Amino acid sequence: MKKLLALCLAAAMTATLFAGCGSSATESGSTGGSGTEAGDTTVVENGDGTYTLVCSNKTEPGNYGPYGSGGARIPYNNVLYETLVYLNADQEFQNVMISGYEEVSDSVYDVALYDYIHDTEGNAISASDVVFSYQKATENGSYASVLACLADIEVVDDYTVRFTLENETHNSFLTMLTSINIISEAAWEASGDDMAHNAVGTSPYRLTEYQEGSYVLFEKTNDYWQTDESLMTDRGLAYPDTIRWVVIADSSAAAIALESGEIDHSMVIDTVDLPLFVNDDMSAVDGYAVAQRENNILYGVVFNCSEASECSDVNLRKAICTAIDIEALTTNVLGAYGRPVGNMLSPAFIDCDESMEHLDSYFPYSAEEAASLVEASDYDGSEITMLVGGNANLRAAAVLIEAYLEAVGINCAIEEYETATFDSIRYSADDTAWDFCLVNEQPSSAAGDLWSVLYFADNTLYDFGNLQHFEDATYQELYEAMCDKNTHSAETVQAFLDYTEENCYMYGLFCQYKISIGGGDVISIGVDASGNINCGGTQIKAD
Amino acid sequence: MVKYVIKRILLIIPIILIVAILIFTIMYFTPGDAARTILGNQATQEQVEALMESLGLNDSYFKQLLNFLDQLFLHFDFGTSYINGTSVMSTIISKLPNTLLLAAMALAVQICVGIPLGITAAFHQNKWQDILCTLVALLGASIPAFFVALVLILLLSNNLHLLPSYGIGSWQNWVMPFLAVGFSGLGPVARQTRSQMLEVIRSDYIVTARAKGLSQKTIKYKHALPNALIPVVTGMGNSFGNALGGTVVIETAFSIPGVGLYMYQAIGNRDLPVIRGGVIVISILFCLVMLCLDLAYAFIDPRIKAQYEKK
Repeated sequence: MKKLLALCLAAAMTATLFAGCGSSATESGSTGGSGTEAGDTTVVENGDGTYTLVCSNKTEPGNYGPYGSGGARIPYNNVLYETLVYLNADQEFQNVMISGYEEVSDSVYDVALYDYIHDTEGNAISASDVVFSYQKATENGSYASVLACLADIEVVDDYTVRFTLENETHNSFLTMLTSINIISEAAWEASGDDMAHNAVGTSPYRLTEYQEGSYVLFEKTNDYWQTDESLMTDRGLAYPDTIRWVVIADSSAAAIALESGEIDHSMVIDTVDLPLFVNDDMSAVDGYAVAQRENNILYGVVFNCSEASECSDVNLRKAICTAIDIEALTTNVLGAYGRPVGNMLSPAFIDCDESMEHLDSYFPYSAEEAASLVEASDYDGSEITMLVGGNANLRAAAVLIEAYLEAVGINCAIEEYETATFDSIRYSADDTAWDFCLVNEQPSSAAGDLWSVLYFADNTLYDFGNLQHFEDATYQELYEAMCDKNTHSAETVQAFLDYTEENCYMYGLFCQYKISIGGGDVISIGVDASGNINCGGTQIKAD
Repeated sequence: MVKYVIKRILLIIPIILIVAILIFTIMYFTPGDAARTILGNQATQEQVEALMESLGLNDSYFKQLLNFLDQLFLHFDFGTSYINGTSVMSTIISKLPNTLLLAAMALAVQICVGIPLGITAAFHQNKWQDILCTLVALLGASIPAFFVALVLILLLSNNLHLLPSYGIGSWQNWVMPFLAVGFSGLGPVARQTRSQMLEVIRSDYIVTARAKGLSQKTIKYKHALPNALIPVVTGMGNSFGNALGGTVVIETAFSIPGVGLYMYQAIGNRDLPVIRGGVIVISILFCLVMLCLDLAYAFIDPRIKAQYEKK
């Protein structure tokens, strides 16, 4: 009897294990959230020929205002608001609200607005609203990096704004214009809550409904201010009539919802679930749509170069880099959904192109070479600390890197922390806490923000100098030459990278592709330069 | 009895005071810079310092603690979230019903299924009914809730398209979460009911009741069950209390905007007002649950009610 019971129990558990297998590619069935019933199509037909695009995200920001920190805001802000300039998927700057700009003197620009812009409440947008928007963004503090170059902003006339820059780098002006959402001062004052929930933007969509932590609904206004299609960016195309962002906190649940047709789009599918939707050659599995972008989120190794660390020895740093097979590492961690980057450059950077050398690895993998570099160094076999944060990819990579280093005689210990604790250790003056750390950074360009954080010798961000605890006057000069708008070129970028390689201050591991998956009714997914979905530019099938 | 209830309610105040001081102290010493988390790694040190100053994070421990207690007890305000600037109190109030609903339905499953299972198992000890009930209870206790959740999603949503896999839009959204949470809490209740009932049905007064010719149903529900219920009710109360803050896994799996998930995200972001506010709200609810438990004891056992009235 007992054996029979045990067998029944085992069979029941096995049956539940197989319950998830063999699930078919999606049909157009949906058991979506409210308003749908089992068997309805994914794209909800609202009875009057209009269509809803249902996208999923892991969180909902709770605050739909135009200024604030956190990546959770980005998808929602991209639907509601517009900036003066837009960086499209082809890495081209496109005018949105401006007809053009003129450099009236060194680092002083006059920007001309269109005179027919209005927001979804009908408030006209003028130069004073632009100034107001930039002031609000400055007060917020989250835009410190892009606004670092802005010395002054003032109204010239009703539709002309003057930007005065200081310490301008080669792309800081246009990057700034792509970063700050423009709102009407009147709408801001009328909202009463800094537009946290009474959000009013200039895009073709308005926020009509939300349930905190659950969903947000945007509806097309049919009153978009830009009617000239030749001047419209793809965000202005506004293909869907309604955009519904739903919160699905778990990546696996998002994959299931996509398979079952409950949602039309997701950007948060885990690597393990991607094969359900994407083939190895990045084409879409039948019944789905895929948009894949080179991502500017880079994963790399950053060394503590202070005298207190073993990694102050350049030979040891080079040994560590040479010991890591970044191609195998990338395959293990990301599968087919990423590529190795030896030098922390990505073609997603706006100032990077394939003509630059060393887009491939600085330090080709060689265990023998690494071992000889260890011999040449002053390394005494003591334990060196690898600091790792909360990112799942880096945690997986850390285990492999530890093994690579052990194989060449480097004794390495992993110290793993959740993100906030990791940041508190990394961004501190204590140069004994770690020897090298695994980081993921998301700069927009090769010059500028990445390096200003990591390498800038006169780093004013942190009162203890740069994050790697060293000073190098030559490096500083090369950095400034790379950043200066008058001297920036492929050559100065290359010179900076060559010096980085020579001294091995950091090393790129891999870059994960940003992959958007669309369900059965999505024809094409619109994306911006960062690979985020451009909801307005996403085409869906007609019923 | 009324005096007893009032006294218990007033006791919540010092308990919450101690909880507030404890959670404040723990978060004060937890590493992680809230200002840096808010502004990002490209904010200057001056901006970080300015934000810390405006948030009061540069003040001494005692000053920050006094400000916090003043805000909490005199103004009943948990503050605003560091991350999105929204009122913590209003956000928790909006999310609390979802968590309470999950916990309440788990309790309902435990009462409606777990207790009858335990009774059946006890009265049919060592027979097939006992084995079946014990099996179900063991499965409920052994299989983690997140596994049940994922299996239900795959079966009922992905394969059979019967129910939606996420959200809280309609009653259909709640079926799978209830099943997942209820099934997991079922086991301990059923097993405890069984063991208590086995103890009780061997008592002399049960033998007397049988000798008097009372029906099995009367013996079960009128004489045996009330005497067996006290420890079972205690367990269910603790389980309900744990569910208030511990359903983060279910909330994540089904994307239910509840307090558990809200606090879990806040911990990663070092959103101190949210963490503090969430812990205090859960503490208050737990105290109220314990009070309800004690009142339930009085309802079940007249001797306990007499003791309360004497007090």
